[in-house]
Amino acid sequence: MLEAFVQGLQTIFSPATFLPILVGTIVAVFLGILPGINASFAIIVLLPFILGMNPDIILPLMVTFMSVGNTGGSISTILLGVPGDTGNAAIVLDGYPMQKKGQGARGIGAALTACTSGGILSVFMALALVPILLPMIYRFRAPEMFLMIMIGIAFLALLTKRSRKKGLIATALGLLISTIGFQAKTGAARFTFGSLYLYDGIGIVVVMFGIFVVPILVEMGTMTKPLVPPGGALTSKSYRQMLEGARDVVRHFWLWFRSTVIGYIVGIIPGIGGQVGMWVAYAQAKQTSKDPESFGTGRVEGVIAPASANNAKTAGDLLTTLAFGIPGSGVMVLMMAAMVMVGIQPGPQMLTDHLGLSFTLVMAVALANAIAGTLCFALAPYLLKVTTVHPSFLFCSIAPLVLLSVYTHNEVALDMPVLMIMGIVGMLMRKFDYPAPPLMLGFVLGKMFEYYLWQSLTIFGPTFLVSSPIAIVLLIVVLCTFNIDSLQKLRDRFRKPPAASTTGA
Amino acid sequence: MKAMRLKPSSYFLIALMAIAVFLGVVSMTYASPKDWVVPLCACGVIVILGAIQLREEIMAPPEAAVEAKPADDDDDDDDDLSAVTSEETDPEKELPAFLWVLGLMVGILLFGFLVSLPVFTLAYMKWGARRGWLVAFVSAVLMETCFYLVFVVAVRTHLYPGLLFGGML
Repeated sequence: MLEAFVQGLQTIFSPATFLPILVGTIVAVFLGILPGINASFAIIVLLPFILGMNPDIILPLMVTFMSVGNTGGSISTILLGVPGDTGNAAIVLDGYPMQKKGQGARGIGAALTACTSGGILSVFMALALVPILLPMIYRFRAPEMFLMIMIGIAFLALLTKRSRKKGLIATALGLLISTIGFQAKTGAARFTFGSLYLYDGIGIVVVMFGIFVVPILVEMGTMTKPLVPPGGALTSKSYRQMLEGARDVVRHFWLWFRSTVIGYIVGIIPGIGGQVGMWVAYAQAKQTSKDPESFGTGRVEGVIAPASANNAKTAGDLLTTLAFGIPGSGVMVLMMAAMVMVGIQPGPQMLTDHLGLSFTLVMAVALANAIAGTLCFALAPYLLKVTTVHPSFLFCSIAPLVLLSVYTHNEVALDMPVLMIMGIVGMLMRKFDYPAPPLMLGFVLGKMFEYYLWQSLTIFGPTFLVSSPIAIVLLIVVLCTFNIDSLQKLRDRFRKPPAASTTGA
Repeated sequence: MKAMRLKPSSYFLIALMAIAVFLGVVSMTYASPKDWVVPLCACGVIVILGAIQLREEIMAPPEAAVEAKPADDDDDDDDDLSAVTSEETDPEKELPAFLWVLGLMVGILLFGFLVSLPVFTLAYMKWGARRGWLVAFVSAVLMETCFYLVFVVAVRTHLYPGLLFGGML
């Protein structure tokens, strides 16, 4: 393991990996500031162009985009009152009032310091967890893998805050789309209707772009005006205030530490998504404060807590995705899709066959955070100018790029009309509140789901679900997740005081 | 008895269920269980859960539906990769925006990237974004130049030439 750690360290600081991380961080910070586009959106668009590269470059680049989008976003969140990324929603509560009070630069300094240091600390916590996970991973065989996929689907589809039925329908739809084309075991062509195009199935890029990118692109086309910072934008004189904000983080060390741990732990739990961590961190900051009523009026603690939790989630989220093949959040589904596209299967073999790469990816989170923090501190007053770009320019430059990305992947022109069809599905899903990540997860895991199902049945027979103690535990987790509603009702029944009998007595 | 009214989301659900039923029937024509079990199960899940969801949507009073909407909008899931709030966007422009992308796609299919790109930029900036001719023209030239320099000269990407200029589907 030490060897893999050193290998990961060497890879991350080799020019071939370091330079893309540096460039990726700069781009992610810029895009994070722009409301309407975020780093994840950008990486999907750019993915087909970089697919030919070494996984040691592509995957750290993806991790970079996902780790530091929030860092840049915290600047526009505090100054404009509009979260550049949904991940910054809690920062706006106290950050924007700070800006109104003329302390915007101090808030930015605090947010940047908390984001950066929280992200770096979470990496150390993730690295410490790897030796604990490793012995567990070695015991995973086909039935356990099948059940892990079921858990991944169940967590993302059922633990979504939206309708669980809609989550499951989206997952089943993704699974159904993944069955188009040749069946790997039998070679039979399914749902091709004689079309040669469909024999290889619908490409992962086409589905991903259709479901995620087209709806956002269309939304961008509906934006009416650019977001220009109100009166008190940052100037070069704001650096003193920003340093004061950094000192605030040191002054509130325990709050920062608690919030980072909360963000990291919530990030580890599959399906919940890091934003829950951000809100929990904000709530605990308020609860533990001597003056909770003043939260929301521009308290620096209200910026430090969510900012720390925000970037701390990525390392935990990434570890769950790598080790178990279960995405911690919707964004990590994209990471999984990218891994599949470069020929690496997320899951236990990431900690066995690709341990060096796993270390590289986790360390990329720390490196990207360090670069982003430094960059934002140095250039904050100038970075904000990005928000003055009119959305119409973005729309007409990104629309051709999206179509080119899809075409470039396979150089098949039919991918473009299929993209538009998937785009309509994506837009309708968005309009009627069907979550997109479960569809993508169902699609990405569909082939693996079928493979492990038939593999388990062939080797262990129909009792494969109870073929080992680990499988039994996983099966219980799956059943509990699918019956979460009944379990919650049962819990509520036990908790509720017997009102009727008390009255009667 | 209250009259049952279908909402737009119900039509979407019905379409999904119809497709699932069709594909489920098709999957049953496959010989090996390895070919039809998973697709049939996926179709079954869509049809069964879709029917339950549809029943709920039809039975739900319209007031509840109206009240439920803002709660959904407040949802801060990682699901949505965009962070644009409703105040900054105009929902009525969604269809025109989609049609612009569709138009660009049709243009690329027929005439290729290098012809469609400047035409799209010029047309969108002039009539979509309502800018002046000068801005539209300069944007089109800049876009074409950047695209050519980045993708053709630097990255050496093969740009689709269009069906009319020898491209294949």
